[in-house]
Amino acid sequence: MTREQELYLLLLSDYVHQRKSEIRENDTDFQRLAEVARRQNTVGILWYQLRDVPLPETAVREFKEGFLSDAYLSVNSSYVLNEIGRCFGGQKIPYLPFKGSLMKENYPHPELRTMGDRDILIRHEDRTVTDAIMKEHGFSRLIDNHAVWTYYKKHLVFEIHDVMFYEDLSNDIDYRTYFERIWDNAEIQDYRYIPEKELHFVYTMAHTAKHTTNKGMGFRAFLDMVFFYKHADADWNKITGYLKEIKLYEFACNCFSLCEKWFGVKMPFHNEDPDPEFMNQVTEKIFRDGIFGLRSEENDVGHSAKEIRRSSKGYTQTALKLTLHKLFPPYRDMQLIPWYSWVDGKPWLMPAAWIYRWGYCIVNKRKEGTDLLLEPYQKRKEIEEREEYLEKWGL
Amino acid sequence: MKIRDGIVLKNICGTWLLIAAGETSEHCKYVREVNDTFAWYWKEIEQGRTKEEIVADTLERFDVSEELVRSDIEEYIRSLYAMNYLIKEETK
Repeated sequence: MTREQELYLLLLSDYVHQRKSEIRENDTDFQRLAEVARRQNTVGILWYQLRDVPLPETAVREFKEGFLSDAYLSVNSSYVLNEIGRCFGGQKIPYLPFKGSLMKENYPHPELRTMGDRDILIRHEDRTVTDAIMKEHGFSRLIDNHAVWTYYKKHLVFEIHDVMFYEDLSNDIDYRTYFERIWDNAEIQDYRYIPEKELHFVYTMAHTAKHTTNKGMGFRAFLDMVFFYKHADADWNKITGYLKEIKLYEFACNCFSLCEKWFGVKMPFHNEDPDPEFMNQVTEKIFRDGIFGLRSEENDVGHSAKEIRRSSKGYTQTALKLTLHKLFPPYRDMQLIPWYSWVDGKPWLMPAAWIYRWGYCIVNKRKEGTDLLLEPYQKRKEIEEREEYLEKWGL
Repeated sequence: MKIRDGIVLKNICGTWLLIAAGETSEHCKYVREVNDTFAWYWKEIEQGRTKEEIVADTLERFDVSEELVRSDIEEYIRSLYAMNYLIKEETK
């Protein structure tokens, strides 16, 4: 770890404990520290911890602007969420804000819990009406992958989901079906649903597991765990039961051990025998990946590693299956790709889509396409290392 | 005088911020740091107090001269109009 990274974790730890940070002006390069915080989307928290330290003027400006930006985005997105929620209620549409909108409430200063977007769950049958409401509020629809529709308006991104979890992890659990129960036992305020906090927390753990499997994710997810434990007054027996049901208990133990290591807190349970080398490896990777994960060679093999772990067949057979999948992507995947949207609702057009895709790749992306097809064979060592990494996480 | 819809005064981490939420950011600065006195006057306006009532409330709460309060409030209200935070009711 660099000096700035060490200091960054120390400042987060001080924030978790709500204690003053003993930092001096010449302790570090504050520009580099700000860069670390920016990559983790936690500049506002660092401003709060450093607000009384006599920093160089440029650093003060950077941290202060980060704080003001976090505050503005938080208040603005809450305001717009309430406006949209009123319209959903007016149209009798049940909606359930989740992830950051709920997790931020456990923070000492909810506005400092940043969010890349606001996530709202709706029922599938309300999709068209919600689309109209979002557009009436000036949002443009950016991406439509069926399960989540993404809307943008001047600094604000809203994701409207009709399925809460739509990806597999490296085990045989059907997370999509499991989290459909989020609507049950939710508290209802007008048409706004507030999910059971224990189930929602377990959902966020599954979400963290998904990012860990794919492109990685930042320290904010772990701050969420700590503040949830400190402030949500949750039933941890229930949470343990849920985590075991969906095979994420071991993963949670590892996450909590990391929280204890980084922030000096006591979590409800943890890995009794954590591997120090693995914990250092994870720490370095999280700094490398940043808040939303990173597209890197290391992470690119994540998908293949996951599929090989999921499969009950041997490596060679699964690798062959992966290659066939890349050559003949199923209708389920193709219909979600914007430039193949012409197959949506017309699965009989799939052979034409495959031929078009092969032709396009041969002409425009020959090397990239070949590398992708050969990945399970050429990068076997990297994939197996990634599998081992997932194994250590308990995934 | 009327506060434009979408302007939110909030104390975050001990700092008073005036935030232009929703469509209001078309007309006002996104976020402005303000001091305690500003926040006090703002809350008075939010509660629908007239200029005279704000003067009376301020004199009752703080140990300052009426002359100073009057000139302070007039300047304050003028600046709020200039910054588009206040609008005349009929043009809302």
